[in-house]
Amino acid sequence: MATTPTANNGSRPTDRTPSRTPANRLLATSAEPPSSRRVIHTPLDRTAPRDLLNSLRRGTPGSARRLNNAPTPHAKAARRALNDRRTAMFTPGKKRRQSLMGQREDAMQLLKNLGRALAPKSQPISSSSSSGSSASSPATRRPSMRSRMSATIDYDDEFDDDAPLPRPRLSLPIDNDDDDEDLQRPELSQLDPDQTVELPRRFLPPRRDSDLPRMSLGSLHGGDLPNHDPTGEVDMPSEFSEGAPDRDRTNLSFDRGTVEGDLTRRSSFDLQMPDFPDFPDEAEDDAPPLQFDSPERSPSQARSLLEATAGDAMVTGAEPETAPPFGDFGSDRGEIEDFSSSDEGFPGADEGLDISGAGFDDFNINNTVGDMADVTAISAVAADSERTERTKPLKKRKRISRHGIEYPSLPSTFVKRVAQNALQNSGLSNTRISADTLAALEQASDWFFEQLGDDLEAYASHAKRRTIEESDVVTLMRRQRQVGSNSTVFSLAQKHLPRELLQELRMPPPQPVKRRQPKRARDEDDNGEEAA
Amino acid sequence: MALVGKKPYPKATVKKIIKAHSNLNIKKNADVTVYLDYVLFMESLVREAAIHSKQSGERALAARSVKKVTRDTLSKFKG
Repeated sequence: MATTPTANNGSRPTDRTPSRTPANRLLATSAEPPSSRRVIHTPLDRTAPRDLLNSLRRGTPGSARRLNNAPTPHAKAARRALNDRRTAMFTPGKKRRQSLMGQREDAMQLLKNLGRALAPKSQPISSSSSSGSSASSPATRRPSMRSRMSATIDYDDEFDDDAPLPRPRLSLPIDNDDDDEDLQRPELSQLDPDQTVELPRRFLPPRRDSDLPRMSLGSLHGGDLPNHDPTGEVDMPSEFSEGAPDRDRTNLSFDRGTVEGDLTRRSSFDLQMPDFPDFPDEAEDDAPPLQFDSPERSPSQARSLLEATAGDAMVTGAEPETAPPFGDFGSDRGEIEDFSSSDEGFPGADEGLDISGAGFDDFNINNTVGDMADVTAISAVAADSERTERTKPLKKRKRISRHGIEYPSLPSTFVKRVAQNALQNSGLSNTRISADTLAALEQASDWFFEQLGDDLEAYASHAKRRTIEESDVVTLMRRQRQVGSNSTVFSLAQKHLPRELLQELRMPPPQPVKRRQPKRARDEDDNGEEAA
Repeated sequence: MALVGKKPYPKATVKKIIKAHSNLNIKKNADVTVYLDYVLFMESLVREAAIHSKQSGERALAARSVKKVTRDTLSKFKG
């Protein structure tokens, strides 16, 4: 037996005694302390030879032996029973059994004695009223009889006397049975509606096909349906995501145009759902950009306008090139466009990503329209105005910076000259600069100056100055990695600036030449401070 | 200021632009450095655009490649 190593703590003597076989017991008594230690420290050693059963028990979860060593209640009961048996076997006399018998008999004998004691007094009817005492009462009535005869008589008496009392008891279980039946009935009733309900659930789609107007119930699919059925164009943009509405509208038109029937329309709608990506090809010209400028722009300008611009570009054919580069270009252009148009400078680059779609429109308009300040107003202008303005000649315009200061744009000749100089170094064979390229370069230089102004402002204001100094520019160039360990402002100027400017840079009129070097050192200090 | 007949760069315009964008005054000789920075920016922009347009198989500088490259170059020139 397993000897319950965990139970050693609780009751050692009782557990040890059964663990030893009777033959070993005399030996074990002499060698108790070591054995007990063994039991405490290494329960497994002891059980290893013996306990195939324990090993089997432990085998179930390999995780915790402790838990497995802990005897289950059944095992405890079995061990107790075995202990009792063995103790009973090895107890010298049979006193114990007798004592147990005495104890067992005592319960009955107590009752008997009680009945005997109560025998003379038990006859009145009051005792018969309680059926629990009736079992004892017959015995008390006729202690001499004690036979089954008396029992039958007693039962008869019970039926006669206690007719009202036991009957309710009998009736109670009957009622309970009734209650059980009542409980079963609702189950049955539930089962029936379940069956009836399950069937329509499964068959709902065909019923929907049969009853379209009702089937607002199926909100899962039907969220799309009611839009199609009653409202059509009005609710579409609100319900659908950005790019969807025009396509849906086209779908609607197709549906209504081709199929008037309810069932077939819905089915056709389901079929067309996956086809959405294909639809913009069909959705291109007429309404979509305009219609969807109005609702869509305010919440999210990005995708709808992108698509709209793509559509417009395809319509106008302003750039007959293929679509994909155009799209890419439009996105890039849009992102950068917003910097200048919104005048938020490059810190707003993230926003530019959002409004990327709007950018292309703005670009076309910005080339023509003077103010780039308000993106929304410009984007509010429809595509038609864009087309018309695109035809207008580009004119020089004044722009308003973020601070509300008007500033002129760089002269294109200047930009072209600088770009030409740069292009000669670039190694491209054809150094001509087309108008488009020049426009792009101008745009880029505008953005560059805007960014430069912001950065210089940041540096100067950080130094608590109200004027931008050359040190700020040098700091900026250092941050741009233009001025570094291998190049100084001076070397760069020598490389890139014409001689007179180099002269000017090297010796600014008021200051002598020597002023330059300490200033550079100070610049570095400033830079270090600012970097820190 | 020893100006040659052909002015090297529109000094006043550059000053105005920077002043408008930064809302600050500009010291006298800072704009030369600004112009230098602009030249450097233009160099790098044109270089990148030339590389891009060469890769796309065009001989001249393509506007599309300039637009493509503008963003990167601008971010490179961000202080």
